Amino acid sequence: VHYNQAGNTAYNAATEVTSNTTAAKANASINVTPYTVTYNGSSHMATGTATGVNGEDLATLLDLSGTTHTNAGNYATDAWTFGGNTNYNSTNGTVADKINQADAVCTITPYSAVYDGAAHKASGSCTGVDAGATAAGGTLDLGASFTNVPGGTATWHFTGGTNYRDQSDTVAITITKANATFDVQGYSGAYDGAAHGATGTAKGVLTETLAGLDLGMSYTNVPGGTAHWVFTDVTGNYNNGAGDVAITITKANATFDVQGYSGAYDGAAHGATRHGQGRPHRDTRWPGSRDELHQRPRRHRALGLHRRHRQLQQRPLGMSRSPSPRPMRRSMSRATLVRMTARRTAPPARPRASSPRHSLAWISG
Amino acid sequence: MSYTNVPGGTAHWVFTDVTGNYNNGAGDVAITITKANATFDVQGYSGAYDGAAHGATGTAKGVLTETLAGLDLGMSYTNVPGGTAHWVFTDVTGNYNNGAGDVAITITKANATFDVQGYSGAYDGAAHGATGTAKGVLTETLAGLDLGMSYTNVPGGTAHWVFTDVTGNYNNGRWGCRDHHHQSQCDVRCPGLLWCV
Repeated sequence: VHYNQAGNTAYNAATEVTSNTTAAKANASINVTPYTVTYNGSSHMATGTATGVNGEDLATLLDLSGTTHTNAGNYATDAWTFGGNTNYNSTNGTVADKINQADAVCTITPYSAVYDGAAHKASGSCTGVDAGATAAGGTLDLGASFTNVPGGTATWHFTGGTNYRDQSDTVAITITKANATFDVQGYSGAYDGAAHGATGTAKGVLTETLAGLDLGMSYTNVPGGTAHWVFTDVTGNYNNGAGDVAITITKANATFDVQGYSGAYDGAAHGATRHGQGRPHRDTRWPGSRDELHQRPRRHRALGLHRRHRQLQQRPLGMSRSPSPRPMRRSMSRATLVRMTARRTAPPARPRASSPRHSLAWISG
Repeated sequence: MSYTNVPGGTAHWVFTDVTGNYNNGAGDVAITITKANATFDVQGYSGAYDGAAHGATGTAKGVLTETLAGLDLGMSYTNVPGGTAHWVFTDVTGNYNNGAGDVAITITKANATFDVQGYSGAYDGAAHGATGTAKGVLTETLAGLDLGMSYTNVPGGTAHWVFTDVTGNYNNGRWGCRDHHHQSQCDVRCPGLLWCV
């Protein structure tokens, strides 16, 4: 030990005195503090102090690098060392550090929309504390997908990996019924004797044709009416629907075959003869109306057709022809029947010279 | 309308739909009625002269067998030999064609009625001949009767009378029998008369 004393204004400096002294190294006072933190993406290290016997700071001799960790984990034996120096003994030790898993922030959005024919699931993500707000190392399973109404409940799972805690929850996937697209047309046309109704289709969101469309009533006669169509969904994915369309049947033009008369005076009244023909019906095959036949007994008698004439006269009004006991006759046209009857019953009989030729035309009309 | 008579007309037909499904309609068609031929049953005449006028007889009938007016049967004839009756049908109804035709009115000669008497008496110096008349169908006395010869003296004789018709309507006649082959029978059948048919 070298002892020196400086002088002052009053004293000279003392002579240095050297004394040999033997001293042992002391133990520094070391205090290492472990850490328990939540994962935040940053590295963590235990803190500590090393203080000499004189209270001097010996921290520079303390190495805590063995306690440095970033990821979540339970580090029970993190080692630290104190290197010591001339005066202090080196030493080491361990501390129990812990980095807890963080909770990622999962934002899961339920799904709620109208049926569109596609599968739908929840959407969302989990954000963490990593760079870019990611939950690095974690995986998110959004759960089941649903296509049809009404949807369902999806259970999502977040697997946090090393640094994040797992999470799970349910979310509603709500699929509501869609509106089908209806293309229902009414009808507008002249009366044709046929029944007419609405036509059209119900199509879905994928343009698929949907069953369940009842097009309502059909109409045959003027003026038609309203067809109330009803769509009753059988898939469960569409709203029912209904509507009205007009079935407009306008009056048709009848086909008139009205013949005048040209013949010699025979004492009988002659007027136009009608073959009124609208929609095809039996009258068109029996053009001679009963009132016409009343005007023609003499001609029919002349042709040998009196029996047939009487049959037709006795035919009730509105009955176009009496049932024939012989099917073959029934299938004959009236003209054929008349010609055959004339041929059988009156072979030589011919219309009198004054009989107009068109009387035969009237028969065979 | 209906038409019965010539020339007909226009029938305006109307269609009034009762179903509700057709438009109504209307139009015109011609009802042409042309004239018919009437049926004529016109008979001539054939008979011996009887002093009366004879003409055609007959009718014109229509298509309903109704008798039609307007038939002029033409001329009548009284005397031999008659003639031709030209009948004409002039329709008055408008429904029949007019018509015409000819039929014969044949009048043959009649036999006159002779009442010729001989004479039977005593000679008286005077001439006696047959007496008598020829009369027609209307009992009119006919000229042309030549009573033949007269006789004054016994025993008389046969007066051959001859009738020569001057009217044209009667057959001539003479004493005798028309049937020359049976004259004897004629004499028997007609005693007292010199004329026998």
